Amino acid sequence: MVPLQYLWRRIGALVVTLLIACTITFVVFNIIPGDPAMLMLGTEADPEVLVNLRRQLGLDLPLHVQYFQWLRSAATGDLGTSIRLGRPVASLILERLPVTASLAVLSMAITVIIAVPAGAYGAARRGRLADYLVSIFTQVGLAIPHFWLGILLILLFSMRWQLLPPGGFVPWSKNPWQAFLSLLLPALALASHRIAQVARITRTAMLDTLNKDYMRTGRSKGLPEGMLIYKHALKNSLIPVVTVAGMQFAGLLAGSIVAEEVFALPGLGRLLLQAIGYRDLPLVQGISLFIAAVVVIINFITDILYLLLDPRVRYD
Amino acid sequence: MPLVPRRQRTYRKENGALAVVWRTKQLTLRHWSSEVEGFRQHPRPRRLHRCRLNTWLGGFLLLAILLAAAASWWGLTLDPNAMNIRERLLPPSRGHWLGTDHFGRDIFARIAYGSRIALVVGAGSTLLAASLGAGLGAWAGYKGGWWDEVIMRFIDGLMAFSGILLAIMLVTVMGPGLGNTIIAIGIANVPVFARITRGVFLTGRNALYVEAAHALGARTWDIIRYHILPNGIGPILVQATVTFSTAILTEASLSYLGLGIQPPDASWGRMLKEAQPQMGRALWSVLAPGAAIFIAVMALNLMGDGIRDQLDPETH
Amino acid sequence: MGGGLKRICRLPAIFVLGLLVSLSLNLWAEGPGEGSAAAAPALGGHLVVAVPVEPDTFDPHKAVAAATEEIDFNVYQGLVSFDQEGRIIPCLAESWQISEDGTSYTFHIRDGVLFHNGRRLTAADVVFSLERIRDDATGFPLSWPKRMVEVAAIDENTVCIRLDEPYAPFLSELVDAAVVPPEAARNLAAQPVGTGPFRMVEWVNGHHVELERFQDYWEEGVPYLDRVTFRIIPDPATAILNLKAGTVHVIPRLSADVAWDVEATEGLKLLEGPMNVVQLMALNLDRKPLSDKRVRQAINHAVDKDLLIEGAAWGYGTKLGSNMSPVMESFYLDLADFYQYDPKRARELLAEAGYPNGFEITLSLPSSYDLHVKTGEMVAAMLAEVGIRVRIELVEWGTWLERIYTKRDYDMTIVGLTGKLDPHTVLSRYESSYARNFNNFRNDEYDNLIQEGLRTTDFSRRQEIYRRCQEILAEEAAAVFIMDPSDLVAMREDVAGWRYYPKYVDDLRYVYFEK
Repeated sequence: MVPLQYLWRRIGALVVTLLIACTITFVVFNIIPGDPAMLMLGTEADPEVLVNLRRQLGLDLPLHVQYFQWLRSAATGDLGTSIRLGRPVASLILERLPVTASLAVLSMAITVIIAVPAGAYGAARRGRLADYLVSIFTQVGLAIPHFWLGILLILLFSMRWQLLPPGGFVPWSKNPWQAFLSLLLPALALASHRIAQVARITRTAMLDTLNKDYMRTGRSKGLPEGMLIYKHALKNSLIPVVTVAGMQFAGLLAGSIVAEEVFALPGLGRLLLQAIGYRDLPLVQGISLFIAAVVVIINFITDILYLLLDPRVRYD
Repeated sequence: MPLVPRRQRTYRKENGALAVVWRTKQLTLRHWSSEVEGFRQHPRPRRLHRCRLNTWLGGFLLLAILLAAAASWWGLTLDPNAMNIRERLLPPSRGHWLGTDHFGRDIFARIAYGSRIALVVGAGSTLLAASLGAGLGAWAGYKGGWWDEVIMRFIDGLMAFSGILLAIMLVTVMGPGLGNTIIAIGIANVPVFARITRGVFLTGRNALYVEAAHALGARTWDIIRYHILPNGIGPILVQATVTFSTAILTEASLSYLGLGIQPPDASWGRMLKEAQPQMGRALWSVLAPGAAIFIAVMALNLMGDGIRDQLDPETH
Repeated sequence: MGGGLKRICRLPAIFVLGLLVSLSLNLWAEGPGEGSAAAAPALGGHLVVAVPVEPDTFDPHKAVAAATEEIDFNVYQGLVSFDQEGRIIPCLAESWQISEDGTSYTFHIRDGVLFHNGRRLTAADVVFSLERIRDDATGFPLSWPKRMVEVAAIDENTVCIRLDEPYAPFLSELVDAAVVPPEAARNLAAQPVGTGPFRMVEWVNGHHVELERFQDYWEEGVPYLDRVTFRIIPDPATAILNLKAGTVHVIPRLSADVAWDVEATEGLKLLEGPMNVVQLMALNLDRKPLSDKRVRQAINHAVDKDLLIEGAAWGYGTKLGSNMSPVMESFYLDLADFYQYDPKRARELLAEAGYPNGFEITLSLPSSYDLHVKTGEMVAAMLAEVGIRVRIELVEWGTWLERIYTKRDYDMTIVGLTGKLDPHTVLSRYESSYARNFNNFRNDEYDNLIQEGLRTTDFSRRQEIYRRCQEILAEEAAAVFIMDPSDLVAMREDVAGWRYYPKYVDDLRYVYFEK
C-alpha cells in the first residue's frame, strides 16, 4: 500500500502545480499582443465600437481582478464564456473532447498492440535478424515527423487507393464505423513515434528481466523458452512500459494538435489553435488549463500505479 | 573559509577515473571517487558495441546535412529565394535536382538552406534549454529546501504543458521568427534538463565524498565543478542529443502550423506546408522537405545513441 | 446556359471574365432555365456545402464572423436586401419612402411573411429587432444603430425610423439587420428563428450545420432544394477530395492554391467571380521616403501586378488601380493600368526624389493570410529590382490590427479590405479624419467629396463623387492597389443556379440539381 502521508503530500504538490499552470496560462495569454475585441471587429473596427465591445466582454477590468475572477470560477469548474462563440468554455471542451480522447485512445491502442509484441520479440531474438529489423523500424518510427507521415498516409490511402477518408470526423453517434475509419489514419500517424519508444523500452526491460536469476532458475528447471519469455518475463517487464505509456497518453492530448491540423479533425487542439488565433482568451486559458490538468493528473496516477506495481520504490 | 590554498591543489586523472589530490603541508588525501558510495563510474574502457554501425550511419547522414548546410552557407547552391513564376512546379531535373516550388524556386537550394535553419534552431534551443535547465536544476538540487520546492513546482507547472503546447504558447507571445522560435523551443525543453540536473545534485549533495570535500573546506563551486558536475555531464549530454533532434521536429511542426520560421527564410516545416496543396501534381515538393526532416532527426538519434553507449554502456 | 459556366478557362483579361460571369449570372437571375427551356430547375435534393470555418453564433445581432453570415443569409432576413450588383432591393419591406431631409424612413412591411415558428411577421417584430440591435447589451456594439433616434410602429404593417442626421448608407446597413421574433430571441445563438428560405435543423459543433427548406417561405417558387448541409472542412485539399467522392457538392471560396485540382478533374466545375475585396499594399504616408509622392509612384511602377496575380493567386484575380472592386459596377472607375509596370520609370522617379541608390524599408505581412504573405514575398523581390531593399516582417493578425492598423506603426503592409455595398463605407477610410485611416492619407479635395457624398441622395452625383475619389487615390499613389482575388466556387457538374453577390453570402435559394 502507498502510505497515506505520502499520498497527501503528492496531492498537495499536484494542487500547487495546477495553480502554477493556471498562473502561467493566464500570464502568458494576457501578455500576448492582440486585443480580442479588435480581432472580432477586424478591419471594420471603429474606436467607439471597440470601447463598447471591450466593456461588454469585461476586458476593461484591471488584470489582477480578471485573474482572480477567472481563478475563482475555474475552481468551481466554471471556465467562463468564450468571447467569440458566446458559449460556456466547459461545454465547448466537452464537445470537442471525444474527438481528441478517442484519437488518443485509438493511437495508444495501436501503439501497445504493435509495440509490446515487437519489443518482446526483438528481445527474445536478441542479435538475430528479427531484432535488427525491429530496431530499424524503431529508428524510422522515432525519426519520421508524424505530420509528414500523415500527409503520406492521406496520399496513399485516401488519394491513391481511396480506402479511407482523407480527413474530417464523423461523430460516433452518427456512424461508429465511419468515425473509426476517420480516426484510423491520424491515430496511426500519431502512433508511429510512440510505437518506436514503447518497443524500445519493452525490449530493454525484457532483456533486463531475461538476465534475472529467477529466469535462469526457470530455464534450468526446463521450462519451455517461449513460455518463459512471454509469460513470465513479459509480465515483469511491463512495469516500466506502463509508466511510459501513461506519460505518452498524457502527451497525446497536447501532441495531437498538429495531427488534428493535418487531418482536419475538430478536436481540442484545433479549437485551441483557433482560439489563439482569435485571442479568445477564456477559451484558450480553459483548454490549456484542461490539458495541463489532465497531464498532471495522469502523471500522478501513473506514479501511484508505479508504486503499487513495484514495491521496491521508496517513498521520498 | 577554504583550508586549502588554490595553488596547492591539483586535479588529475589516474587510471581513467577522476582523482582529486589535495596537497597541503598538513595532510595529503587521495580521494578515489570510485571507492565512494553513490559515485557512478566515469568513462571506463568501453566495450566494442554492435551499435557502432548505427553511429557510423548517423555520422554519415549528419555529415550529409552539414555539407548541405555548408554548401548553402558558401553560396554553392542556387539562390534559395530566386523566384521564377514561369518555371514553377517543375519536376526534378539536372538543372533543379529536386525540382521547383510554387514560386519556381529551387527546392534543393531551399532544402540546403533549411538545414542551416534546422541546425541553428536545434543547437541554439538545446544550448539554451541545457544551460537554463541545468542552472535551475543545479540550484534547486544543491540548495534544497525552500528553493527546491519553488523551482521544482514551477518546473512541474511548465511540464504540464508538454512539449509542443508550451512552444506554441511561447511563440504566440513572442511572435514568429528564427530567434523567437529558438527561445520558445529552448524554454519548452528547460524542464527535462532541470529535472535531470536536480537529480544529479540531489544525490551528489548527500554523497559521502562530497561531504568529505565539504569537511575539508573545499569551496562550493569547486565541489560542484569537480565532484558533482562530472556525474551530471553524462546524462545531460545524452539528454542534449535527444533534445537536439526533438527541437528540429518541434521547429518543423511549428513552422508547419505557420508559427515558427517565417519567409523568406526557407524552413522544412514551412516548405511542407506550402507544398501540401500541390501534392497531387508535384509530389516531389512534399517528399523532399519531409525526407530532410526525417534524415536529420534520424542522424541525430543515431549519433545520440552512440554517445549514450559511450557514456553509459550499461543500457544496451 | 450552363455550358457558358462550365469549367471557365483562364483568360489573361480576368476582369472581362468576371464581367462575363456576372453577366451570364444576370441572365440566370431573370429566371432559371431561360437559356435552354428543357433545363427547368428540378425540385428537391440534399446539397452539401463545404465551409472552412465554424460559425460563431447564430444570434444574428451578435455574429461577426463572415463564416456565420454566409449561412445566416439563408435563415434570417432584414427589411431590405441586395441584388447581384449590390443594389438595395425590397425584402421584408415591400417598399419604403425617405423624407426630403434624408432623416426619416418609412417602411411598408410585406404581407403574409411567416417566421419559422409559424407566427406572422408584424411591425412590432421589426421594432423589437431594431431596438435589440441598438442595445449594446443584446446587439453587437456597432455605431450605425445609434443613429436611429426613434423606431416606431405606425400600424401593423408600417415602421418609421428617424435618424439623428442624414446618413446615405443607412439602407445598406439595414441589410444585416435581421428581423427576429421576440419570443425566440432568448435562444437565437443555438436555435435560430428567422423568415429566410431555410430553417436550421441541427448544429453539430465542429462538424456540420443542417438546414431544411422552410415550407411557408414567402417568395414564390424558391427554394428548390429540400435540405442543405454545411459541413465544416477546414482544409481545402480535404474538401476537394470530398467533392470528388461526391460527399460534398459545392465548395464556395475555394483557395486558389488547390483550384488546379478542380480544373483537372472530370465531373467538377469551377466558377470564378469577383470577391469585392481590395488587396493593397498600404504605404505609411507619414514615414520618410514614402511621404514623397514620387517614391510612391516609383513603387507603383516597380510592381508587376499581373505577375503578382499569376504568382500569388495562380492567376485568379482582377487587377485593380484604386480602392474599389469592379463588382461595384455603378461606382467603379477602371484605373487598373494607371501605373504601368515600368522598372525604368521607377528608377527615374526614385532618382528624382533623391534616392538614386534606393533605400531600405520594412514590409509587414499578416502571417495568417497566405495570399498576402505570398504577394509580399514577390513584391519584395520586385522592389529589389529597382534598388529598394525590403525587409520582410511577419506579424500575427492580432498584432497587425493593434500595431499596424490602430497605432499605424509600420512602413508598408499588405492586406485585403473587404468591400461594402455602399461606396461611402468603402472609400471613407481615406478621409483624413477617419479613425482607421491607417495610410495617413490626407487630401482636402478628397475629404470634401466624401462629406458631400454622405449628404447627397442624388444617384448620378454620388457616382461622380466616388469616381473622382478613386481617381485621387490613384493619382496620389495612396497605396499600391493590387487585386481583387477571385471568388472561386468549385462544384459538381450537376449543381446549378449558384449566384455571386458583392457580399460574403451563399445564396441557396436558386441552387438546384440538374436532371
